[in-house]
Amino acid sequence: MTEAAIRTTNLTRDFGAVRAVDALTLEVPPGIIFGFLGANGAGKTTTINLLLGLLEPTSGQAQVLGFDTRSQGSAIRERSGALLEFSGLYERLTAEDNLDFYGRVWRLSAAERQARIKELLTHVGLYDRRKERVGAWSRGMKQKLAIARVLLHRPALIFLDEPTAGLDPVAAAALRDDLEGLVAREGVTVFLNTHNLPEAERLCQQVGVIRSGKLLTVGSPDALRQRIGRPQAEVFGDGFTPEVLALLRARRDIASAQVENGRLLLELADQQAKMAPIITALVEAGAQIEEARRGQASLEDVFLSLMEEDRAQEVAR
Amino acid sequence: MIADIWTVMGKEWREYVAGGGGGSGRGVIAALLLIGIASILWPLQMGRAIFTSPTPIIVDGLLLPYIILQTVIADSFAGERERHTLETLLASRLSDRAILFGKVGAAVAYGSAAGLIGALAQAVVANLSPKNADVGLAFYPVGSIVVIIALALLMSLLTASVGCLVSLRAATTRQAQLSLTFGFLALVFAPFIIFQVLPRQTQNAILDALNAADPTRVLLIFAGALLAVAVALLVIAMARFQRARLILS
Repeated sequence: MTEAAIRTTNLTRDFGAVRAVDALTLEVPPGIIFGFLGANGAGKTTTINLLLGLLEPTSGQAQVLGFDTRSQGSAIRERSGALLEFSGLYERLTAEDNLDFYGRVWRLSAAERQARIKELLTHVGLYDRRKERVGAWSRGMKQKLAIARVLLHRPALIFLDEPTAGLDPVAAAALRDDLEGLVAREGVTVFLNTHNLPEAERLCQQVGVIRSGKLLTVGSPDALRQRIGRPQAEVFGDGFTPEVLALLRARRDIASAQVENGRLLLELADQQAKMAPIITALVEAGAQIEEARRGQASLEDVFLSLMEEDRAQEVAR
Repeated sequence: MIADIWTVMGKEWREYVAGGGGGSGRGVIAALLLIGIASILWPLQMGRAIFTSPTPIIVDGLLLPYIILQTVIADSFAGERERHTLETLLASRLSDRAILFGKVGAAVAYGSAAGLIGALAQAVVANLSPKNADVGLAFYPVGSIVVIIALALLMSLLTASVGCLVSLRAATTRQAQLSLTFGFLALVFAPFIIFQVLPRQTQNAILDALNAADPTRVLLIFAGALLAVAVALLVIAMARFQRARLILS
C-alpha cells in the first residue's frame, strides 16, 4: 500500500476562543493535486501552516511525507515547497537571484542551480527576463516565478495557497497551464488551497471542502457531483410559459424548473430521472423544443449546496 | 549550518547592495555625511595628527558602524515582514539559527567593513593634506588600527544583536528604526545625565579614577562590556525567534 502524502487525525488549532481548524481528519494520496476548498477564513491557510510544522496543533496529529508535524517540521520543510498567501519574492533582487538564493537554501550545487533555473524559467516563459528586478513585474509574472521557486529543489510535495488570487483571467489561465504542465512533468503531490471552484474542477483529482475549520466532505469532483449535486438539464426553445413551468414543478422527477435568458433550466430529482418523458410533457403542453442537453451539477453547485446544508444544520443546533 | 548562514548572509548582502544599503536610504545619507566630515574634513585639517588622535577610534570604531547598521538591521525582520517575504523564508528548510545568525553575520561584516573603510579613507586623506607636504607617508600605529577593527566588530555585533531583537518585535521597519535611534540616544546621553546628578564628591572620584586609569585597561573593560551585552542580547534574540509567533505576526 502506498503511504499517504498527508494524513491528519482530528487535527485542531485554536486561536483563543476561535477554532480555526476543527478535528480535521484527512488523507491525501501521493502524486495527485488535492484541492482544499473553502471561503475566506475557513481555515485553509492555518491548515497549511500546521502541515508545514510552522504552527503547533492544539490537539490531534498530522503526518506529512511520513513525518510528524509537531516534532519533525524541519524534515517536512526540507522535502516540500510552499507558495503561501504572498509570492515571497525579494523584489529588489532579479528573478535569477531570487531562484539562486532558494537554490542555495536547498543546497543545490552551482551547476544544478544554473541548469534548473534555466529549465524552469524557460518553461514559464521568463528566462529572457531573468536579469530584471522582480519588483517591476506584474503579479502574474511574479506568481509564475514563485511557482518556479517552489519546484526548484524537486520537492515531493508542494503547498499552494490561492496561487491565482488577484490575477486577471488571462494571467490566471496562463498560470494554471504552467502549473498543470509542471506538476505533470515533475510528478509532485500538490495541496492546493483555493476558493476558485472552476480552477479546482480543472486541476484537482480530489477535493476537500472546509467550512469554519470543519471538513465537510472529501472526494473526486465527479464523485462529489454524483453524491451531492443533482443532475441538471438545459432546454432551448420557445413557449416556456408560467403554466408550463407549473406543470413541470408538479412532476416528481423534477426538483426545480426556471427560465433564464430564454433557456429552461431543470434540476432533476435524482440520477435515475429520464429526459424523454419530460420532453414529451413539454411538447404536449405546447412548448417548442430546439435542443435539450443533460449535464451534471458543477463543483460550484456542490460547494454551495454543502455550505447551505452545513449552515442549516448549524442553525438547527 | 555554516553553509546555511553563508547563504543567508549572501542574500542579505545582495539586498543591501540592491536596496542602496537599507530600507529607506536615510541611514546611508547619514553615513555618507559622517564619512564626508570624518574622512575628508577632519583629516584634511589635522594632517598626520589624526593618527595619534582618538577621533578615528570613536568615529570609525563606534559611530560609523552604528549609523551604517541601524537602517539595515531595522529592516532585517520588520522589512521582510512588511514585504511579505518572511513567511516564505520561514517555510523553507533553513533553521531558526541559520536565519538569525545569517542576518546578524551580514550586518556585522557590513558595519565592520564600513568602520575599516572609514579609517583607511582618513589615512589616505591625512597623507594628502597640505599640512603634510614636506613629510613622508604615515599610518596609524598598529595598536590604534587593532582597536579600531576590534571596536568596529564589537559595535557592529552589539548593533546587530539589539537591532535584530527590535526588528523581530517591530511591526514596521520605521518603527524599528525609531526604537533603535531613541535607544542609542538614551545609551549615549544616559551616562552624562547620570554623572550630572551625582554628588560632587562622587563626580570627582570618578574623574580621578579615569585620569589615573591605564587607557588600555579602560579600553579592554569597555570592549568586554560591549561583547557581554551583545552576546546577552543575541541569546535573547535567539529565544524570541519563534517560527509560530513570526508566522502569526
